[in-house]
Amino acid sequence: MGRHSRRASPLDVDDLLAEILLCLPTLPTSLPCASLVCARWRRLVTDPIFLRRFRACHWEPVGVFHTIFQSGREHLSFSFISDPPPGSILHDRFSVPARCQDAGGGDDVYTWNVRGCRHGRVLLINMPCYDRKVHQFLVWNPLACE
Amino acid sequence: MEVDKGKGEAEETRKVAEADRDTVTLKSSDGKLFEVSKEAAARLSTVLAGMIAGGSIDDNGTDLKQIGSEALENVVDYCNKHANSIPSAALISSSISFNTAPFKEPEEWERKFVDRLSHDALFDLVEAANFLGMERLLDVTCHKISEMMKGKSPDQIREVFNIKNDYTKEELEEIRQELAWAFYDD
Repeated sequence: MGRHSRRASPLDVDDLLAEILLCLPTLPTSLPCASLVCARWRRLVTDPIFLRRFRACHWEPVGVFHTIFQSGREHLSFSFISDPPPGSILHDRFSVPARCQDAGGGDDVYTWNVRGCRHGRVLLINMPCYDRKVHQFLVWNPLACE
Repeated sequence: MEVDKGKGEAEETRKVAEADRDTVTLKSSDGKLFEVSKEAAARLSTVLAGMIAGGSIDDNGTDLKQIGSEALENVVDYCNKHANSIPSAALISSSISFNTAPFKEPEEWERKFVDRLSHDALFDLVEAANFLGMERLLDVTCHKISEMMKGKSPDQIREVFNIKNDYTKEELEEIRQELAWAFYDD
């Protein structure tokens, strides 16, 4: 693809650039990559209104939750459905322990359960195994690993 | 009196004939004339639909000073191809429901339509579609430009679209660290 040179382009108009960037695929690297192009692109793709529209345009699920066993421990993990480009992101990168043990390494004392997803965030509830009372809530953004 | 009456009738007949015409004539910024199906123009462009409904269509060519002849030719071509590609039952649906339909991936003929365009022609068509309020054509052309970014690094995107990197090295590094979750560390 050759270098593009002309006096004006739709990319110079915020509204049109937003329409173009809304069409980017839902790969986890799409918007981070766009935000590294220049400050104006970053401002656009981090705008909450743009992000709401982006989610509305791409309603397909981006990943699934599942439990995995790692080092003998059960983890609640998130995997992308779409294949990330090689070398850009790790599969099964985001996870939290599904079960926690007490300090003595005895039986599991509580478990994390997924209770719902909204706006790209997941609500997890930590329930002790012995009395099933809710102890902790965790709002998790698996894409940002927060 | 009879002559006047005759003229009046002729005028009336001409007006009816204009209203009955199934095409509209559009004039590009460089003065070229293009005919397009009135039905397709009204269905695909909110601006042309408004002009047709408001009676501001000029029989000798409605001036579209913001659109060059190459872009207008592509707009008209798109309208004609779109009219031919839609089954007659779909034509019954109103332009409102068409314009508020959720985004669908471009169809095969729409992909071919934009694939043959040069960069400049594609960019001009985006601007023409935006000016004429042609939501579907805007979606299809914007989708094509976004595909040109797919799989490219920020450097490659800047190169293809001739964008100036206005970040300092430090800013770029800071943002990279902020977004490290999406990329492998170099």
